[in-house]
Amino acid sequence: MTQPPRTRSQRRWLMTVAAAAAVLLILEVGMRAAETRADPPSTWPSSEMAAKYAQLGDLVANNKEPDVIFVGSSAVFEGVDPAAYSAASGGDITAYNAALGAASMVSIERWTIDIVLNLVQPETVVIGTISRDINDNGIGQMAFFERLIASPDYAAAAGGNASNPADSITEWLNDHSALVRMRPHLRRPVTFARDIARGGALPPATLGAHGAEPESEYEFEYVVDEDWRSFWTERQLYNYSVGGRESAALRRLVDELVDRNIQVVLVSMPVTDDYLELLPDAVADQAEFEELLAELASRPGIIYVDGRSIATSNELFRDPAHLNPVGARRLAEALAKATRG
Amino acid sequence: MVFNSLEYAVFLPLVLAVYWQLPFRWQNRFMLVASYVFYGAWDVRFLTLLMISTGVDYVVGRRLGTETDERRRKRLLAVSLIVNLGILGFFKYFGFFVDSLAALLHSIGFDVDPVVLSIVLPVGISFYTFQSISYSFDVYRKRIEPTQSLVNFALYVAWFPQLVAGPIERARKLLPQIEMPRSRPTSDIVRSALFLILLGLFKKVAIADVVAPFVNETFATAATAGTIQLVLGAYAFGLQIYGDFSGYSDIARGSSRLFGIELMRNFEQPYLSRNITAFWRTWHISLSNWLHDYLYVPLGGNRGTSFETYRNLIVTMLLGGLWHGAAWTFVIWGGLHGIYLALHRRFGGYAPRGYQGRLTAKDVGPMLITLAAVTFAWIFFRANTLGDAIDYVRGLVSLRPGVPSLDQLAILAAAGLVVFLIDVAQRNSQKHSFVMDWPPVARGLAYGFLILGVLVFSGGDTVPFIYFQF
Repeated sequence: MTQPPRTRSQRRWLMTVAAAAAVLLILEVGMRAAETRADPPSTWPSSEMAAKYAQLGDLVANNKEPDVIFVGSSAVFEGVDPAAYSAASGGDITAYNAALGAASMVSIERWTIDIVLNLVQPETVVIGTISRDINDNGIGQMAFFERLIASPDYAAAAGGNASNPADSITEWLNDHSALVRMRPHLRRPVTFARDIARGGALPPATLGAHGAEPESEYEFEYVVDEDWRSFWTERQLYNYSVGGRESAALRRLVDELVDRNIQVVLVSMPVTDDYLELLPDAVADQAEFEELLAELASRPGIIYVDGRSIATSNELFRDPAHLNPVGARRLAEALAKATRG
Repeated sequence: MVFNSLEYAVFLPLVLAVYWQLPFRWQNRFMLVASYVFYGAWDVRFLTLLMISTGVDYVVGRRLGTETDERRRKRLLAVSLIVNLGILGFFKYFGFFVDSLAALLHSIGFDVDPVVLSIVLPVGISFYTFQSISYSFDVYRKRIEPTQSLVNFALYVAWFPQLVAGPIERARKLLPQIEMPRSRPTSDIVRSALFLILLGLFKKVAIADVVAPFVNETFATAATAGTIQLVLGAYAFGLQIYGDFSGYSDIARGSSRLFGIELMRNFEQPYLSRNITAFWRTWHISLSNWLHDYLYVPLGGNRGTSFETYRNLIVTMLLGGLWHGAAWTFVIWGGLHGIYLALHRRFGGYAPRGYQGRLTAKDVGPMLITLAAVTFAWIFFRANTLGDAIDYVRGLVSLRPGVPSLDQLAILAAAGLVVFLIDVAQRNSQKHSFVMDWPPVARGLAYGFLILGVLVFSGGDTVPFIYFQF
């Protein structure tokens, strides 16, 4: 049976559809070629987070699950040396620094519960914090959290399967289309073009052993200048206020760890007087912050460590809120003593 | 249920499939149920308010149709206004006035605790109450005959494609379409409707949602961000709200067209306007017309002295600002536009209505000046508080250093260019579905580009339309 001839309108419509399909096909082929030069991008909020997730996964795969996990922001990432902690504990305790630069407590809570504890089952979790981590108005802190919860990599690592048809469709498209896989690259066109020209994306963040600050980043000299002050007053401590969502996240994190029978150690991370001067009311604000930690630590079984009493000299800092490697070793040793008797 | 969701992608074809199988007398009943399902998907409780508004104006309309005594007719109109504006006022403005009163008393030494009452704003309330009020007004003014059918009137108020964010349709345009049998749309109409839906999705997903993170970051850091970023942030918000709202209107019009109902155009390339009067004739046209007909004209319009005309313009725009939300930022935004309009009327002369003509080189200067004035006012519209807006304006004049990243600049430039090209194409062709006259291959390339934009920039969480909050 012969098909009736197509009308002019049908032919025009077919040409339209073919042209539209050609646009998508050309881009799909282009992205498949680009994939050989630049891997599909990570969607973790920071390359450090991606690297730590991978490193923790390797430790688990090699049966080297850490006994002790440190969590917090950059104050902990740079301020606690896991190797020194292990050595001070007699060498049979393994420790991992899972702290994240730029994170605040709401991100630390989700990262610890959804990702870290999803991978490993430590005996002890050390939560180190400074008042910046629980400032409800810090600029950048909430944006980091929003990037975290919107990250497909986070959702996958947290064990979230496609919970609705839209997610299933996205997963299917992700598996079958380079254009879909490379979407995050296309949303950063200049960086993508540079990656292609360079022959690949910049390498992910490198880490020292067990999540520690990489040696290449070591800073020993104490520096506090006007740039540093303005960065902290205008962003990290902006419109400083505690008692809202960030403090609530800290409470929930402690509750969750206690519920899981994990030993909780709360550490008021060391800071210098130059840091306290940036708070609206140095004495009262720091006292309020320490009261919050003390109140949480008053519950049975929780250990509280006042880091400020351990690192008292500016020589142990690289800036007012971050210890240098010497300070990081000193604090790690003190923590080992406090937690292991 | 939002247009840019999988739920809507399933809902629309399902409703369409059933709708066109039904005889006419069942179509409106079915669409009323579908519209209530669409609206109830947010919160079933909100349906009660929608039904109250519908019921009151239906009864008022019918009584107005038979009542001849002028005093009683006025009383009936007052019932409609009191109920509709009462609902709107309670849900939208109660907190604002209580907080403002508490602040005022505090400033003169009396500390009172404002009544703590958490009131959820029902989605779309500002739109459907205005639409319902316009019906009572038009019946009162004898411009239309009241409808005898409760189902038809309820569908006029609740027509789902435009229920939650407009266009605010007039009864004299939408009701007859609802009351008359509709023929199946031709293939050309279906194609133009699908193009409008695709274009609207593109504007929402690939323009508005793409610039939104830059806008959010800039407004969140207004106190510290560099001046260049602040300038770009304000323009980016103009781009975001235009993509968001005109995108919504395009999807609404396209969806409605598939059911054989034509909705009014809500935007006519406003950023290509040569002056502020032309801007307000092309931006959120349904609200501008509403404010003109039911506020500006009753206030006296331009029938009095020059001073009275300027006063009426400013009062109308102040109330237009307040319509958007209970905040001083909206009041200032409306006030600024009122002043702009008064200044243009005083010094700029007359702006003819209707088609503004093809864009020419001599339009560029006035267009950029108008755009700058509109963009400045957007700062107040977007800022969370008046203090934030003041910080933003201070930052603009502080000449603080700092520039956005190259990726951000590239995205902003691309989004601005695409919107400009779409608007020029629409202006020059005088068609929103401007590709319909293009050769098939060019049309296909345009479709491919739009689908590509939606594909590349979708995939995150569904971002609600900005105007849902109003």
